[in-house]
Amino acid sequence: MSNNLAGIPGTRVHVDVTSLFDVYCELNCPVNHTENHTKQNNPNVISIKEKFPTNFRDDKILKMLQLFASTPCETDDVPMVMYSFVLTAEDTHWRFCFCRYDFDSNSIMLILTRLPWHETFFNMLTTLFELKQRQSNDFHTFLTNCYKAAVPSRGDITLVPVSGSRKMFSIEQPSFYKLPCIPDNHNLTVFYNLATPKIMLSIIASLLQERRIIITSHQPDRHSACVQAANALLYPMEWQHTYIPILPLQLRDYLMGPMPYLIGVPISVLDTICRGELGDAIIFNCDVGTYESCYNDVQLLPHSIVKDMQDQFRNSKQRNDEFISYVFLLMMVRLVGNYRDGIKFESDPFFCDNAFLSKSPETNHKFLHKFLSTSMCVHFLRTRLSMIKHGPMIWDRFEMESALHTQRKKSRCCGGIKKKKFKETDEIYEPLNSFQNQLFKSLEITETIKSQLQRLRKCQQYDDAKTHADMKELFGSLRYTLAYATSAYNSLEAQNVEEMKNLGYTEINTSTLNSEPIQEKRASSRTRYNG
Amino acid sequence: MARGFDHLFKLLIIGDSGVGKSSLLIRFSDDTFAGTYITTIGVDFKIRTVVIDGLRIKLQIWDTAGQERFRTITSTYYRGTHGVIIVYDVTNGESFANVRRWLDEIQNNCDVVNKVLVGNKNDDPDRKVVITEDAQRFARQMDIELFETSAKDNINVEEMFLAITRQVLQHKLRNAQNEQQKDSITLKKQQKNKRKSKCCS
Repeated sequence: MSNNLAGIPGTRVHVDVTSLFDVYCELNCPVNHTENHTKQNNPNVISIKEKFPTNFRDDKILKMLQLFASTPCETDDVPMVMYSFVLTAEDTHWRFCFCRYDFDSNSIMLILTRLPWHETFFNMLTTLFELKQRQSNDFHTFLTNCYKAAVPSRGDITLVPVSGSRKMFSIEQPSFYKLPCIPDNHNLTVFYNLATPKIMLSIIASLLQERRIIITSHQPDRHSACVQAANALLYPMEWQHTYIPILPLQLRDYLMGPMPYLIGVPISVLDTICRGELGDAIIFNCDVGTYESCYNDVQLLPHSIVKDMQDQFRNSKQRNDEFISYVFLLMMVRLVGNYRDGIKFESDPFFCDNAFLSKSPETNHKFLHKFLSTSMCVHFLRTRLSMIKHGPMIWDRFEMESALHTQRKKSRCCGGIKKKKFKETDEIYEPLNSFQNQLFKSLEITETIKSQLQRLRKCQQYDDAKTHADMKELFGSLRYTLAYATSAYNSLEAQNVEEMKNLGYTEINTSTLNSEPIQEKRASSRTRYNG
Repeated sequence: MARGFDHLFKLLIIGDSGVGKSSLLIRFSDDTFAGTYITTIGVDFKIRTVVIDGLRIKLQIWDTAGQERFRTITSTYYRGTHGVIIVYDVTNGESFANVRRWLDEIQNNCDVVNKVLVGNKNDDPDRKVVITEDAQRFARQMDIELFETSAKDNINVEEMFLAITRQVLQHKLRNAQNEQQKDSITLKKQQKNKRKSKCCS
């Protein structure tokens, strides 16, 4: 899934979302779109054919949807395009719009939602399109069911029956532990296919300096996906400035903004602007893979970290799955994973730059000194501090990787000086990696069990036949999950406890294997770091 | 094609939401049909061309959403701009307190930024809580020019925008002059002796 920050309070992704989507629309594209676009007059060149719910009356938003969604009409000869764009509210929260442009009918189906669940909504659009082709009422039934369906809580799955068939459409809340994977994650896969790891690193390095960055291509899906994937690779940070994955022609002047931005723009729109007016903006053309920048931001990153990343990219044959996300997350972990070293307690916890820097490797100081004053870092520290202060502390993948990293460093020291047991770093990593995978699995499972138990409790209040069937099904899946959890637990214990002991892992080991792991972990993590 | 201006300045307007940034911009802007994008893409700007000392100056004033989310305005935010307009609401003490924090932040970052302080909504003495003397004292202390304006009644708005424009213009001309002087000085130095010049921080 797409956004590891979704669900963490204080970020730009909404929390406590009550409905799966805000509005569904079908838009008619103009017959001769190119002409309309060169005239660049009003944004109403495309009209709304249908909307749901029909009483959705936010005209400002509807106008924006028409304006933004119209962009792909410029590209001809494409039978179908799926793309997404993002709107920003005045409180800086994001809303995501998923679109499907169909060349035959020359129309766009779109869904506006607060949930950054790209894969779910692209699938939903495909299903809606298939149902629409059948010309029956199934389309509306499915759309209504989706609209009324509950937003699944973490680890839970909402199933919506696809009318007219026996299929169920499943909607799942993304996990805090799973990073964007290739090829499952649409945005990252597109980004990875269009940018070499070197360019990816350059873009991320420039984002960390909060520069003005333009990503351009002929196809809106490309630059939109690259923009969103680049932001996701900043995890646990997120872009705090102007963020427009698709910039329509009518708003091209926004490229002249002097403040930091991350904007995706069609080449046709970018070409209408004189390069001189863009100043020091960095431009990545993802069609041809050119990267123009007057800065060398990679050089500003700590040299050792860059070198390790380059080695990882060069040496690893495995490029799918979490690899890319993991390499970038590891970079963030090495930069700010020890942020808790900077947290001091007086009457209230606060972050002390000097305390943090004194515990960071000296090679990182030059970069960190500047980085600590960027909006993304300031905001990151504020949200983490607020979780520590007010709870609940979300033990997300970043926190876990940071803990593992600290442990690794410790064990490396021990290995070098005292034990000399692990000569090769691989030997140290290997048991840790398998431990880590088991850990993630069991954590996801515990979350599933928790939410399913909650659902069961709710179900017990009903006694009609349908719910009994539901309960039976639930018990069935619960039994399966429990069996899975038990086997995961057993293999974890059998395989890894010995290695874990060798690596000084007893602490994490005991806390994760408790019966109420989530609560325990929070408590233990707090005492371990804050003391 | 000839440009319609001699200088293009990009300014940022910062301040809590509700202090009247948009109203000030609409007052100032050439465009009377001012549609705003701040609620849908989180950023907005207005343009106007003014004439100062016979020079045509095109001003772009930029506004972004959610500035109060950042209790500090970080230097990356304004490093590309020529000047900053910092707005508080004279009927809201908290908005003034935030302004102080932002100015401190700007002051602490070494970059030189042209700036002006604006107390907006100065049209109802009964509701005014940030008194002029306090604001003035603070402005002097921070070495910043203060304007009390009312976008609603169009009081002092024009003067304020012209003042910051003039400040930016003078800064730019002075810099250009300094550059020239510096060039000639280094040239002289190099001719006299080849001593290494010291860096000034």
